[in-house]
Formats: sequence, C-alpha cells, structure tokens
Amino acid sequence: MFYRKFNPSAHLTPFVACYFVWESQDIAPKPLRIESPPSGYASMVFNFGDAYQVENSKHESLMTPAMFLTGQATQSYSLNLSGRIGMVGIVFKPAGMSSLFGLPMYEFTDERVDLTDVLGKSLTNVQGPILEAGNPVERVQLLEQFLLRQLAKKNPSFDRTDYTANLIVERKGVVNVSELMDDLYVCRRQFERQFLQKVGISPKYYARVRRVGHLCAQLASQRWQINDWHELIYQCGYYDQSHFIREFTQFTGKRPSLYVKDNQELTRFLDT
Amino acid sequence: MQTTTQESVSDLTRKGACLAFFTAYDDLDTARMIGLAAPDATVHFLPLGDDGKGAFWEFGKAVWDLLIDCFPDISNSVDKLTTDGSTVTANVTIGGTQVREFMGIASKGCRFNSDHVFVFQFNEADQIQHLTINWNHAGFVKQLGS
Repeated sequence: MFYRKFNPSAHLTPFVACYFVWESQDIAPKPLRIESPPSGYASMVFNFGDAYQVENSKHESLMTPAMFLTGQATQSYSLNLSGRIGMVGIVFKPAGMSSLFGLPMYEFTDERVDLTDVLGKSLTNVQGPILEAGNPVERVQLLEQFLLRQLAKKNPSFDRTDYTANLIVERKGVVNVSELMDDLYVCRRQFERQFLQKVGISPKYYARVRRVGHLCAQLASQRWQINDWHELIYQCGYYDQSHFIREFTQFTGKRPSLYVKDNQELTRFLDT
Repeated sequence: MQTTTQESVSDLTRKGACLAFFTAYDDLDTARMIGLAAPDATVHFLPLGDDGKGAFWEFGKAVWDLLIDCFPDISNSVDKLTTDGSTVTANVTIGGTQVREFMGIASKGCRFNSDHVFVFQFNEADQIQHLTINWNHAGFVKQLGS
C-alpha cells in the first residue's frame, strides 16, 4: 500500500493544499473500510483502480464515478474499497476549487459528482494520460499541469473569502467569525453569501467543521491514546465537555468514547 | 447514466431556488419569497402544531410579514443545503430583535438567534410545493425573555 502527499507549485498554493496518490499493487484479500471525519477540504479524485463505494449521511452506498469532485463533508463518511486501489487527487483549500473553476460549492456539499458532468471537455486531456502514466509522480505532474492551465485561463484573484477560509484552516477553526468580519470591514450578508458560494457552507459552520476535523486529526496523531482530554478539548476551542460531546457527536455520528474505542480496535487490528 | 445527470441538474436548480428564498427573506421581501412557490403550495411551521399549517401564499406570507413587523432586523445565514430527491433541506440560523408583541409573546426588546431547519419539497416545475420549518420553540421563547 502506498499513500503519499505532494505539495503544489508556488502559483497554486493560495488555492491548493496538496495532491495525493493512493495505490496498492496487489489486490486486497478482503474489503477495506476507511472512516473519515469531515476534513474541511474539497477535492477532485481520479480513480484508476477498482471502483469503490462511499457511505455518508445522504448515501447509504454510492458507487463513485471514475472522476469526481466532492465538496465539503459536513459529517463523517466511509469508503468501502475492494480489489485494487488506485487513485490520484487534488485537495483544494476551502475556497480554492471555486476560485479556480468558478463553481458554486454549495451544490457539492456531501456529494460526489461526476467531473465530466461539471467540467465537460476540459477533462479530456487529463483522464487518458492519468490512466496511462507509469508512476505516481507523473500522475501528479499531469494534475499540476491541468491546474496551471486552468489558472492561466481563469486568472483568479485571491479574495477575502479565500483569505478568511484559509485563516479558519490555519487557526484550526478556533475563531470568532463575527469579530473576523468586523476586522475585515465586510458586510455580513455579502460575506456570508460569497462564503457559501465559494466554500459550500457558512463561515460559522465551516469553523465548526474545521474544529472537529482538527480534533480528530489530533486523536489520530496520538493513536487514540489521550492522556488529558480536558487539555485537548480546551485547545480545540470548546467551552466545556458537554459542548465538545454535542459538537463531536453531531459531526461524526458517534460519541467521542465510541469513536476512540472503534479506532483503537482498528489500530490493534491493523497492527497485528 | 443519463438519468443521474438529469437528476443532478435538477438538484442544482432547486438549491438555487432555496437560496433565492433566503435572499428574499433577508431583503424582507415576502412577495419574492412566495413567488418561488406554486399557487397551491402549503407550509407548516412545525412547533405551532395544526395552527401552523396553511397555504404558502396566504398563511405563509402572513406569518413572515408578522415576523418582519415584530423583528424588523430579522436576518438569516444559510449554514448548509442538502438534497434528497425532490427535497432540499436547509440548515439556517435566524436572528432578530423583537420590537412588537409576536404571537402572544410580549416584546422586551430581546434578541433571538436560533437554528432552523427548512425542508423544501419541489414539484416537477421546480417550484416549492411544500415547506416545513422546525426550530426549538421553547429556546426561542426563552431568548425573548418570556
């Protein structure tokens, strides 16, 4: 199994967080289920392995198209993979996909939409070469070229929405959005509508998603062995334990104790 | 495959109609709000029980006009929109400051800020056919000081 992230070129860093490649040379002996909390990022995925299924709050079982885009996830989702894994993707900064492609992101929240339905002919130069590419680096280079062409064509400006959304990511969702709007001298209504258009959810909701996504990443980095929950909850910007449990359960669908237990069991299973 | 494409295009139109509804609400323009619904559309303000059911164009407009009259700075923020077939669910935060009595709640000049769930059902012509609105009414009343 091979999973690797690649950084974008400097021109694309305002809009793109990273590229990723996930491949397995061998066919998995049994199906693999990967559960993921909402990350706060949108992405485009090009699958050159076997098709796989997604489960989320909207879809019990959705077979993903060969090329798709996905907007903000507002709840945890699961990938059910079997056979040969092979995919390459672009992870966009929260407003990046909209800035580069001019898409209304509220249409794609919790969705996996076929890229050909959205971008049409502009993809014809990408899909074939990705399938034929000999190695992960070549595939990432093809994605980079695709985005650089789009950058030249669209010439997007890095606006207040991009700035604010990236700031919310940087601060791990621990921000007071009303104060942020005051600091930026923006009209609340206009700002919220632009944010919904470019990110897919409201700024306050996005900050909550980002906060829980960061907390789950912290749990994973500590392999779900938490010594001081109070410190972690405080650092992640929750007022108290009940606020944390309510938010966590809403976004992941599980109480924190069950979430940790399930992941500890998965870790033990994978380690054996 | 073709069916999937047609459905997704239809979804796009309907989310746009929901956003137009909330933009009109933010503009305090109830005529534009009801203009997005079919003439025989219905609305149900769930916490009000059977008293909260009625025709979208008449009863719905009357309730929204009353809300705007009692909370002149009423505003909304759409947190997210999700589709499921012909239904679009909008999670919306609504806030406003009370200046007049509202449905038996005397004005104490308090401000409310409350999560609402709007469930829009659309017809084949992409018009709103039915709307259900839910919120924590006890919390709403408490915020108004009653």
